[in-house]
Amino acid sequence: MADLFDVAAGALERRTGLGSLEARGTLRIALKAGGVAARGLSEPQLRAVLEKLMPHELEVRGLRDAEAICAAVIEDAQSEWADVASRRASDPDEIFRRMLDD
Amino acid sequence: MESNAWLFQILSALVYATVGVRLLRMALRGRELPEGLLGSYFVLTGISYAAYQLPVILVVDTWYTPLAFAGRVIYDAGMLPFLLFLRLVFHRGDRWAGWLAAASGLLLAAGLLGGAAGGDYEGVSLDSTWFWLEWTGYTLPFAWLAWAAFSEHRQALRRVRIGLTRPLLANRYLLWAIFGAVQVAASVALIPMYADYARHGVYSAWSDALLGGLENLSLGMLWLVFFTPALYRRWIEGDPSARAEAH
Repeated sequence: MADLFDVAAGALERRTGLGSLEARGTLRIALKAGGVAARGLSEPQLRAVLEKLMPHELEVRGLRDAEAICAAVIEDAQSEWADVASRRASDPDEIFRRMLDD
Repeated sequence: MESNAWLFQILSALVYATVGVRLLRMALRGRELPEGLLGSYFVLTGISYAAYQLPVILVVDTWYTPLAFAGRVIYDAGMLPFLLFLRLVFHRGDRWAGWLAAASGLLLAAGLLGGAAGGDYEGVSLDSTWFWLEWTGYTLPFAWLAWAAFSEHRQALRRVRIGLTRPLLANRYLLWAIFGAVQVAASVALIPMYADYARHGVYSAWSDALLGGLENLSLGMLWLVFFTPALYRRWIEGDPSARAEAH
């Protein structure tokens, strides 16, 4: 079953014209810089990485209008990932945040 | 246990039990498995510490070995939910983590049962292979916690920079990593302590002091995690208005 990483990498590939391998690799680099794991990626995590880190990664690769591309990728990923709201974050942050807020 | 060291052990038991009950209540309220597993670990550890100290407090020497064995069984049983917590929270879906948790659990069971079958009910015989199996079984999970929580702390610092994680949450991982590292140090400190006991029949004052110091450091970490003082919270979070501007 495809996860949000696959969906976002597919959208990035379509919106940039990068090859599949390069799109996935670029997304992985941006996620790593943001301290986020590809497995179990959540929508808020993807949005933060695409908004704050990905534009730089795309500019480094010579792509113009990086911020617009990222906004489009977020939109594509959200529409393809329709059940995202029903998915509950189960990453360590979510678990330790519950203990923090108690 | 010499002098008034039992007082610190009872204090530890109370803190562990309090933290455990709090986590279990959270688990029941939200039907959350991770809190339930961690809460079970802390409650069982608290009961175990109390079992070890009961004969010392009541000054009934004949109870020492049976209650020490009961404390040992309860402590080892508490490590099982703790291992499941590590597997579930830090390595969900990683097959190797499942094997590591199972191996650690098997080491505990083998060490406990083998040691008891050989007549070592207190689990302090350094010349027994069973002791070392059990020692590895209860030390490994804390080394795992220290490593996993420190790795997560480093990742969380990156998430803080893009507004995904609160600084206080990133700091929590560091506190858990220190708690794990201190527990490993306490396990290592048991070795000269037991060696001393084998030679002289009593625990030396210095080994009691060392273990007590490490235990207090552990309690300090739990205090910061579960009863975070406002001053500490402000120090870690910094000025909220400045952070809002940065994001």
